Amino acid sequence: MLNLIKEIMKSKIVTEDPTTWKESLGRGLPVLDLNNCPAGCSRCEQICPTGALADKVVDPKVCIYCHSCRQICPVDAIGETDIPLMKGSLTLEKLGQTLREKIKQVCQRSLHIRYVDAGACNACDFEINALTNPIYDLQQYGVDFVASPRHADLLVVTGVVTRNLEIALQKTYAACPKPTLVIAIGSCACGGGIFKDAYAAGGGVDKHLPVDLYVPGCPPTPIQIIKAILTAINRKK
Amino acid sequence: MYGHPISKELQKINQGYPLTQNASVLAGHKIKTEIPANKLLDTVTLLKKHGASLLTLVGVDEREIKGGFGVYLVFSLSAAIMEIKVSLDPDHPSYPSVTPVIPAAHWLEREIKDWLGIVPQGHPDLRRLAVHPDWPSDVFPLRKDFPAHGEVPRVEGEMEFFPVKGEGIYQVPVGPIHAGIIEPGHFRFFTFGEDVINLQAQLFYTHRGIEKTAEGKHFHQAALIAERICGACSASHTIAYAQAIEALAGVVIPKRAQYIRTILLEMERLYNHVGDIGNICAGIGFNFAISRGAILREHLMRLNMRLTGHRYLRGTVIPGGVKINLKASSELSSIRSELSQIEEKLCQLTEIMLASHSLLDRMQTTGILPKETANDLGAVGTAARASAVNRDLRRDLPYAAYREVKFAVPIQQEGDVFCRLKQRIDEGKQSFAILQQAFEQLPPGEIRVKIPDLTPYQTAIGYTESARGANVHWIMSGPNNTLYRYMVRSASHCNWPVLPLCVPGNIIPDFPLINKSFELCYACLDR
Repeated sequence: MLNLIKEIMKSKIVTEDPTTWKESLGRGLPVLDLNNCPAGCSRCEQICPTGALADKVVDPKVCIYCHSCRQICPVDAIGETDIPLMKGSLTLEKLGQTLREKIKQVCQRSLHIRYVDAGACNACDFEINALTNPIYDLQQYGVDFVASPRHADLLVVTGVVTRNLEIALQKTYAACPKPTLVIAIGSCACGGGIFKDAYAAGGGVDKHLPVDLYVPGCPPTPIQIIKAILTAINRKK
Repeated sequence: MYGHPISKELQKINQGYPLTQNASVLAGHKIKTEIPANKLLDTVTLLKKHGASLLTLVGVDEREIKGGFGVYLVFSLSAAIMEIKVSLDPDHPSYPSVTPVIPAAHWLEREIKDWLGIVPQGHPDLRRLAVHPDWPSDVFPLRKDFPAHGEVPRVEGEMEFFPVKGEGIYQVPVGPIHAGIIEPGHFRFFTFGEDVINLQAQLFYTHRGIEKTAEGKHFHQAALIAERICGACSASHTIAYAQAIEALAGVVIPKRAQYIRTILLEMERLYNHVGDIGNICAGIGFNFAISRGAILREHLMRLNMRLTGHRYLRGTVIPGGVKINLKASSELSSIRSELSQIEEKLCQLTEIMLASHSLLDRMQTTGILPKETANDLGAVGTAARASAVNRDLRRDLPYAAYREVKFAVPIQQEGDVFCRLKQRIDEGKQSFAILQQAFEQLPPGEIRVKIPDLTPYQTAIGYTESARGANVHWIMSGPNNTLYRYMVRSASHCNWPVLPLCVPGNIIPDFPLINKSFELCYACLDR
């Protein structure tokens, strides 16, 4: 018991500030350098496991960030850039407006999140879990996870939406007070990922619910997820 | 001719059915035989007598290539892997169930009934397992005539639970969506007061159709699927898969690649074990350990990122070797010294945990898994070793560089939550030691070899001992370097049937604790 108290007293603040984040964000979005790209070569498009790469552009929502394209490129013409957050189907301007209105209605200073695994591999889930550890400390922004959808302003969904979870996801959404913000986290939730055509998988969240924000990545790192949540509630510095 | 002692006895039972035996690139001997269905029970009884344990049981729709269905049973024996095949009728596929002899097969046999319509005659429990009640009873997704992208209509149906009756018995349904940030599954508690009398589960909510998706894919592309079966077991799944492809092609990977794989596997074990050591304490509200464990886990995840460019070690393994050549030695030595610091901090944390009476009080004698149950049901990994089952594939059938590093396989005796916690602490220490040795001995050289064209319709297995236990991947090659059938039996698949048996006799509030002490993946099981 004494040792426990001693250790607690010795503790320093370990929480980090996402705005001064220096560590690597992991594998980024592949970008083709068209000046170096040899004419007639389509190896990258052929190897892409999800068909995210078409006409020399990578769709961030469909990409699973395996970087097979970068590895097969014979002239090293594929670089990478930060994975963008993608807004929902509305046009950007209109979305900005609707989001702001929603947020005004939904949140004052704090935000409650209900999380739903709709058929993920659990990597996204572990990264969301990591948000509550002392290093990321999501609660410092007044944002927290709640046990019931009835208390939630925001639904965070991971996974392809499997056949066996489709109904559970819809029931969870229905149980949330409206308006509800929805964020799709990870490649599977954004575009169905590598399983998008499988008989048991539903091709991503927006086939089932209106999505406000997509956070692609396989999985996106905790820092990307924090930035996404703060963006969604218009609180990003 | 037949080197393994069991060969002669097997020949006696199955006269006239040839046995082939090859040296395997993975584990000593590989014995293969095809036997008639009516000799199956005698054969598995003999294997059981010799201490064989079931690694996997796979059904394959071979109607278009061999005119019927096939069931393959794979066992591990001392220094050998044994594969037995039984061929079945194309119209009414059935065979005598092996579950009465080998209870560890019971979920596997229910699965092949759900997915292929192959009936294991005499199985004690043929309720549905892998498909949900709203799945039509005459649609079998792993049959070749089922389209991989097909839409299947929903039908009316109810979950089937064995009834538990009596005055004062209540049912408590929990899930599939849980209160915390965990994966989905439905639990049905039958309780009397706070005491759990019986627990049953409906799982397979995150079933994505992974095995079907892999069929027809090039074996390099299927490696990306293997990576995404489970997040926290990503490296061990991909390596097991790659080993299966290499065994099939008869390729030995370079030494350096073997060492790098060992490093990846142990990093994965460590971040899982360290995370679990903290997270088990979430079941008893011991916040100090929860947050310290989470901090250490995060440090390990960042080391993963520095080592490989990915926190979950994805994109590192490929059939034929590895994709990453670890960084320059200066970076490696800084990673090694950070590992030592983490080891020291973990040691401080676990000393405090083990000295806490409230922790011991909640964990000791809670959720006991008896050794016999663990053995009979084929439990694996930390859960089995915490119940005195001395089994570890790294030592018993070594792969990667495990022959060349020194490590002990700790075991515990009591099989309660505390033993499963202690088991992770002890195994973590070994992992730190293995990592330091692997970094020290890391040989120079190539990191991958080319896989030659695969011969179609051959079978092979690969396996790893993940943080949760044995992951066994079975493959059958198809034409043009594709997969014809891919079956993944993860550690969680072996341990899920065991968990509900450890709960009766405990109170409902102890379930989260017991569940966390097993820390089973849903994604690994559901596929």
